[in-house]
Amino acid sequence: MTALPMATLQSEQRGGRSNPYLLMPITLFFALLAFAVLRSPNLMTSAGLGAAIIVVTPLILATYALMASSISGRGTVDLSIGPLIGFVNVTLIQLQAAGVLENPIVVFLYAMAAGALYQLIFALIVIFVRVQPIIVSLSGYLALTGINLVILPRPGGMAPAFMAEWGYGTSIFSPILVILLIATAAWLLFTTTAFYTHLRLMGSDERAAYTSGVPITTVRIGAHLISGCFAGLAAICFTALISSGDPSQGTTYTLLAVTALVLGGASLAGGRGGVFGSALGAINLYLITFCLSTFNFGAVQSFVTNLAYGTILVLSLLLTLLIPVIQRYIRNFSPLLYFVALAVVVLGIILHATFDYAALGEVGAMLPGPLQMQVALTSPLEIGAVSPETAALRAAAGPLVLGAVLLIVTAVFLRLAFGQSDRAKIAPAIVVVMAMLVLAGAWGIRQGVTPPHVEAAP
Amino acid sequence: MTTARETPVSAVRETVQVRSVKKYFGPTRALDGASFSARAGEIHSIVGGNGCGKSTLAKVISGILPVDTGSVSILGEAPSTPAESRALGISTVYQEVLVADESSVADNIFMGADRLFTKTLSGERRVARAAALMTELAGEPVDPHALVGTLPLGLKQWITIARALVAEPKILILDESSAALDYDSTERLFTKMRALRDGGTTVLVVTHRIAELIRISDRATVLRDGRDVGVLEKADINERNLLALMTGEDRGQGHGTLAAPQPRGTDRAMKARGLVFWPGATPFDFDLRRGEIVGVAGLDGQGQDAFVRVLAGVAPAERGMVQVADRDGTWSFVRTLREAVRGRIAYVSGDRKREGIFASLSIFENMVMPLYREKKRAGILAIIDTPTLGATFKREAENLMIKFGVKEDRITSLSGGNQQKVLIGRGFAMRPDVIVLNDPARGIDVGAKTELYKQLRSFAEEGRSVVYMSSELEEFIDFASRVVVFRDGRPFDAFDGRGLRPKQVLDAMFGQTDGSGLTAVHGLRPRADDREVRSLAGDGVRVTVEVPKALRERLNSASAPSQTLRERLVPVAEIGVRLQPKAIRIVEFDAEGRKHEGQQR
Repeated sequence: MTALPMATLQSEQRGGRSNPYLLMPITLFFALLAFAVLRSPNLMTSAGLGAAIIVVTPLILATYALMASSISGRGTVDLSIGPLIGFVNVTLIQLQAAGVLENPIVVFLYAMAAGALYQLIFALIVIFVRVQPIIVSLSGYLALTGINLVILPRPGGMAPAFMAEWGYGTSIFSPILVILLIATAAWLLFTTTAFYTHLRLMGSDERAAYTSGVPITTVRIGAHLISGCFAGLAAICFTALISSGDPSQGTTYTLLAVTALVLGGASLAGGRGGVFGSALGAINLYLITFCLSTFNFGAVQSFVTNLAYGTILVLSLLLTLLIPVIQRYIRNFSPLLYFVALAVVVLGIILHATFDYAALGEVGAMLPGPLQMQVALTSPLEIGAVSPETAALRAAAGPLVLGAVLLIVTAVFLRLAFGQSDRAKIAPAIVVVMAMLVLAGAWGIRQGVTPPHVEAAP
Repeated sequence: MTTARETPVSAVRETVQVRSVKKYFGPTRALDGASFSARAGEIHSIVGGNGCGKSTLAKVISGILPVDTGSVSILGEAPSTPAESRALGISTVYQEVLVADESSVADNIFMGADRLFTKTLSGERRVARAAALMTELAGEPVDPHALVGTLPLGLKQWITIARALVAEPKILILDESSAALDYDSTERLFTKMRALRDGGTTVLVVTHRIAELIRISDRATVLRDGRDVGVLEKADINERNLLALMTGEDRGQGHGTLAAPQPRGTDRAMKARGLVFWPGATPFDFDLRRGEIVGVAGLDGQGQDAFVRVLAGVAPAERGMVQVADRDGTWSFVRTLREAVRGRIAYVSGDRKREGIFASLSIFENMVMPLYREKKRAGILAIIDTPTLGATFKREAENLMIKFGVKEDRITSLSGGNQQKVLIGRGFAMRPDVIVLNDPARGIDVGAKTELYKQLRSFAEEGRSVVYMSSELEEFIDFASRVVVFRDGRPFDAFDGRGLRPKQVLDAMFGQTDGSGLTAVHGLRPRADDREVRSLAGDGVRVTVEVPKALRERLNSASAPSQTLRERLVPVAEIGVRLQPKAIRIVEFDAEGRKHEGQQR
């Protein structure tokens, strides 16, 4: 038993490393993305992506806020997140009108402090009064909804001057994107700390954590403070989006954020959740809206949208029933590898939808699709010269194919390295690298050059 | 026992001192002036019946329960939170398997070892340490990055023990920690405990398992009704002394003088054909006779657990079928729990948290709930018949000697052992023909066990059957009619309950016997032989039945499935008196009363 060779040791170890809860959000994300791009190629322009980022960022940050507190367990689903965003929004507008908040730094500090303070009170009630978190958050929801209307009875007011242009969404690189990236990076950094380990252990089994000496009171308060900071950032992005104050609009974020959280594969019982899944969940919701907006439902548009949210949420929860089955066969599911594999497929679809075939030559009406693929496959066998447009297409596709192959090879290599190593913490680094690749692509779009893997349509 | 050493009393210091501590939970008196002391470098057991306060005492020492009155001094201090006691060098492994399922093995092992924001050990070293420790303890490599939720219960238990060990404790408290471990693992745990003891650690063991306790302890403190009633030194620790102190009377040999019940006939209550629990295992048959108690044993995860669950209809088998006979001898299938209940099979699980109690309901409701439908009143209105059920409840509670305040109290107000008794009472209350018990004695004290055996024995003597799975071999002695040992998902060997020696069963569990018990007299057969000649040895009469070829073919064509033909009866255990083998002649009389000898018998 003791003298096992190393090779068999690796395979005979008990237990699986990761769970496949990201399977659903990733699948849904790429399915919706492909559909959205086919319906409306405009999404893949600098302005289209810019607008998408502006709209989706408040929701993503609100989902982060929910995630941070729901990881801490006890079924903490903060229903008051929407009114809280509204609260920060209306107070910000009123204070700004009173001439108190001028400096951007002060505005940021105020928003995060207001969110954190509210969450601190929330946490103290949960810990010391021992009320169910859902009850506390429901009371908060009702109270804040009323307070918001008292502070600002009807929509109006002006956002601080420095964020006047933030909400235009004409380019990808807006300050909103920077806020989102900094918030995401901050969470990823946070996951490397002991505090995060404590948080997850406590969320997964509070009694186990308590009896092993984890300071659960402090950890729970900390989780709520982080949640409050995310809520403050969400409120700032929301203010930038609407450029004014609105006492009731923020309330809608409650339902959206809870839906996004569940769609992102987080466990409402605690202990499981992350920025990757939460962001995907929020983006999925946005993409559903986007896809539906390409159809014209007339007056019932918003009902159809809500119907779609509900249906997709239920379907994705039903499909998570399959996860134990999947877990039985795939011990170490890699969400990252799955993501990259689907990304390559969807990149192909995006290229197909947005590629300016006319730019290849004077022959405008080229038949794209399966036929093109066949030509591409059989042409190496033909001795005759290829037509100029095929040659041009091939020249244009060469770097793309190379890029895709490189991407997959890199991902597989990283996956193997990760699987074989005794370290568990490479994953955040990989996510950062992936994010930088995407950024590079987006930058390329903006510069108007032909990037290796994303092609812009005029 | 050989490695245990006598501790010189004078040379060691007292690390734990508890003086006349009282602790009340509402009206329940958990500790009533208990005193306790332990020294450095000894393995000290805390023993007692259910609800005697030994778990409470362990929690008081580990610092998670504040005391009402009395003084607690552990290493000169009185910790009041787990964090403080951890800082003092106290590690506790609790009765419940407390692990965070969503986190990795390494994180679980080092739970509580970090300060709030900084780690005490770098990631790689922590992972390496976790892997080494788990390999040493569990005896098999465990991926330190694996999510704990994907591991079996036995390994989760090891994680909690490993967590206690990485803190390098001065005082280690093990509260029923070997409950989820099999025999082999328990041995490894003992080795580890002795090593710690020799290093000067105080090891406190709270346990019900008397046999283990006798082997491992240097001293034992016996509790009864919240008080300490005696401290036994190494030489005095034996079953007789312990029982005498625990029950407050000299009970002598306990159930040792009784004989295991024997079935009176070959009448069967259940039969299973071609059972397979997981792909690739060998199919086997099983017969359960009326009036017998079948003990089921095996190492962790060898299929014995699956076997009792399949018999009770709790879990489906991979292949094969289980049938149960009603009183008229009609067979019906058992595939689901509903069919099992209809076939009067009761299932009692030892895992009361997951498969037993309704935590938010009362003791009364927990026991008689399955009878609501049966004993309803006013026809379709189905009003609960409280008086009848009350009588049932009273009878079962008295039979099993359940200690409770008011029957409307929540079941969680009872101690673990009493909760288990309520569940067993629920099983009996359904008046089943077959009762299937899955390690029911987990967390039950000796007195209650004796009572349980008595109940089960009289149950079997009424002509009903018991299937009893246990991880403690001593439980089978003079109790089980036969013992079936599982290995690799099938019966590996079987033993007659009379003259059973635990050593044999242990050998079989580790695959050291030849498996001859299966084919001999115990009615468990691996598949594959299709002899048409059946011989059964029963009641000293040897009978050989040979079916004529013509008749056989007619039978074959008449009854389509060969299943019925291949049926074989269970051989009954051989009895000493042997009669001459007899041949039976088939004699027919025709209409005129003339005798026709059967064909060539």
